[in-house]
Amino acid sequence: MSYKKTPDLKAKYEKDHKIIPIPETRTVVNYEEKKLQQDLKQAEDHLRNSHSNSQIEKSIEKYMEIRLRCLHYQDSWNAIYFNHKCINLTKRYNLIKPLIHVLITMGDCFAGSGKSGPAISANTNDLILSMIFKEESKTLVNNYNDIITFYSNL
Amino acid sequence: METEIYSSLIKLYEDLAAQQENHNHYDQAIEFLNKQLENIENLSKINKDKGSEKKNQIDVYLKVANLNFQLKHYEETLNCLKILQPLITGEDFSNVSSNKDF
Repeated sequence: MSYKKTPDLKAKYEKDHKIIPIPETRTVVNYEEKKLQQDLKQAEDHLRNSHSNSQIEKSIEKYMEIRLRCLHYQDSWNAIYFNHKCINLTKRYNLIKPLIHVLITMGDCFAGSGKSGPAISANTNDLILSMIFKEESKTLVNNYNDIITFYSNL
Repeated sequence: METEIYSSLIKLYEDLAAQQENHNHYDQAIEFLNKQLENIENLSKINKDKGSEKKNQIDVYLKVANLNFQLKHYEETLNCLKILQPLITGEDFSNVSSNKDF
């Protein structure tokens, strides 16, 4: 199975951070490594102090930032790892809205192309995986009110 | 969020159908095209701009009709064309049909 970067997310990262990264340059790598360690520490601190769902959500946000950075450097495996970590967290704490979001982004990881780009050459298994995550997010969106009522009655 | 989900699913099913068609797996391609249609319909329910969805629907129905024809499923081909007719006349040729009345 091949895991490809998603060009749209890469473009978004560049736009959001207003930078033209040069991965070959050691200073950029050093900066990124330092930033990654900081972000990981922050995410884990939020998790350790997770007295409320908002702390968990902050942690998820941090992991998703790391995921985006991984994608930027075409490190699809780690992007999927962090995205999956977020899926597990949102499921564990019944955070439905963030869960929908992280399922969509997980689907993007496997989509193999941007919204307008051709994906004929993409791996069929990857596209099917992408479809599974997107379909799951669709089911959650369509049953959102029922799910919220269910959890509020627990 | 719904729009984003439906749009990406439409694109995904389109890609999957194209892949299957390239491998001459027409049955599976039709299955994915039907899923694509389902999502186009869902998107058109929440989207105000119905024009583009209708055009997409027509394109997909044409593909399904063509694949069914290649599979020699003539009844299904005919069904697709029956669905297509009001879609096309309603969309592009409404003026032509009203002119006929004169």
